[in-house]
Amino acid sequence: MPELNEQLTLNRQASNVVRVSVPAAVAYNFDKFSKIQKDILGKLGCMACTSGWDIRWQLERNFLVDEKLNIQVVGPDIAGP
Amino acid sequence: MNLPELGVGLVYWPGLEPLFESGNHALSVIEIEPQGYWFENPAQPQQPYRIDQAALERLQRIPLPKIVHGVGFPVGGTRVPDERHLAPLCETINALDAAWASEHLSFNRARNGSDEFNTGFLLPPLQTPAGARAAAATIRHVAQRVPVPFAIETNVSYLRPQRGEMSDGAFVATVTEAADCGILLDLHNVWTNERNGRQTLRAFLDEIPLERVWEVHLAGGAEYRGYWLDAHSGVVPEALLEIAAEVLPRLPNLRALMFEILPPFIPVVGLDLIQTQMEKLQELWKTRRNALPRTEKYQRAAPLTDGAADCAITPRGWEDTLGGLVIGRPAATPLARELDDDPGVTVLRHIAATFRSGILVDNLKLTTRLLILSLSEERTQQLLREFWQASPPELFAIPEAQAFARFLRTRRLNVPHLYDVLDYELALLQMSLTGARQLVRFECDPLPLLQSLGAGQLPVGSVLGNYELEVTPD
Repeated sequence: MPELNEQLTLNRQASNVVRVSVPAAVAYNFDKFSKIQKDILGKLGCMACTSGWDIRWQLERNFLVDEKLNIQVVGPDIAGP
Repeated sequence: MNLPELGVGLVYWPGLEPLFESGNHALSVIEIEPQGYWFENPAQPQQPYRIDQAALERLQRIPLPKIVHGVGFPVGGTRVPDERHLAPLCETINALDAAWASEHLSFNRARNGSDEFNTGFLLPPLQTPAGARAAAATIRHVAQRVPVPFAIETNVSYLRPQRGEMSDGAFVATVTEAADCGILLDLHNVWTNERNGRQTLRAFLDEIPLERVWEVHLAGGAEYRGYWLDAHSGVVPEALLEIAAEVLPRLPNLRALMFEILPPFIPVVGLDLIQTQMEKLQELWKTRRNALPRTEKYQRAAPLTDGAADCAITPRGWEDTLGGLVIGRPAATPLARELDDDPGVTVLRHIAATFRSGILVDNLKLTTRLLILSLSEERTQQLLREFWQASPPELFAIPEAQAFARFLRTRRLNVPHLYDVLDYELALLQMSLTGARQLVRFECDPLPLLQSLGAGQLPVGSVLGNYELEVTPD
């Protein structure tokens, strides 16, 4: 994450607390998974118009299994919580 | 009703923007689900719902006509939706200059004693005359308070048909005649109902007032445990496209044909295939004009009279019972036990649970990841189930994430850095709500920790110390 080092500032406080500052754009994107879903728009609201299976948990599991971010087929046949 | 003809379009989600660029003749309208771009801040009870103005401005800049489709405050139940949502709804409609607005013929509020709760899922109303009267009153209440014509969306039901209930089509006809509103005919929903053993799509169409249909939805779905789900997970099945080609010419007041796909499936399906889908829908739209209009013999639904032919179940009793079952409450009454025998209720429970887990993994992603990596996925799922038992669903993502955070604190889990990471993600949500900078304390150097979790790995060799991470608004 090269932009991180460019955008953060690091200060040592008088109380011996190290303070690191990052802008929101960096803070929201620590997650490599954001390459697939980089936009927070629409994530904070309520559910969409659907009566189907939400695959976000499965996508997260796939990410943890496959760090190369290969997009895998996901669907309701795969067990969720 | 003199509505503009808007043509073929898509429900908007981030990631679809390249399709909305000017010059794409396959698209001429977009539909906005407004509550997706609102925040709920429970700390402001007088008006907890706030529009994300940056998102609204972004939507305004899309150079296409817009229509508004509500998803959080359905109008098919006995309880009038939270009045506080009307101001941001009207503001959204006006800001987008929407030609009309719609909501679902469903319910999502129920009660347990004095405790009203969100069901976490849009649920089907009781299809009796009393249920129709209640829905019509709720629709009228909302329709009178929005500045544009109002339509209801035909809903999905995974339940078996109930003894003595009205058919799906008769219920929609009765409600819409009584409420004098438009119909958003979701063909995939009705087709889903047919595939799952309810009324056939053709019989449904023969019963509803087709002249009230202003808008049609099409979508793809998926199989699950013998059910067809309205999952919005891909392109429209060919069989449904063929049905749509027959149905569209029968809709004299149709003004828009919309395709729906959910955000997580956009990268799976791909923009090229979505574009191809839109071109197919354009062909449907054009050919409908060439088809001969068919003479319909719709027999207007009989006016509702008080107490006519109702069953012993009351609409409120239905809502409270079904809502309670879906959020995992035990089946304590005869109606609850009867419904609990319906495998459709099990399906509802499962898919409602996937939404709750999806909200958490989206909004507390690093926290969830740390739990899975430290405790195992199975143990994390067990924690989720315990949380769901303890806490009914919240309608909006931020309160749901905050409720899970409170639950995690009560568990005092021995997971290194868990509560630092949780504080950090809650602070990001708080910044979304307030726009104010946030300061979070860490007991180790936060950057390697967050970068490791961001990469899907547990941190190794954390440097302990007193750290503060300051997140500043862009």
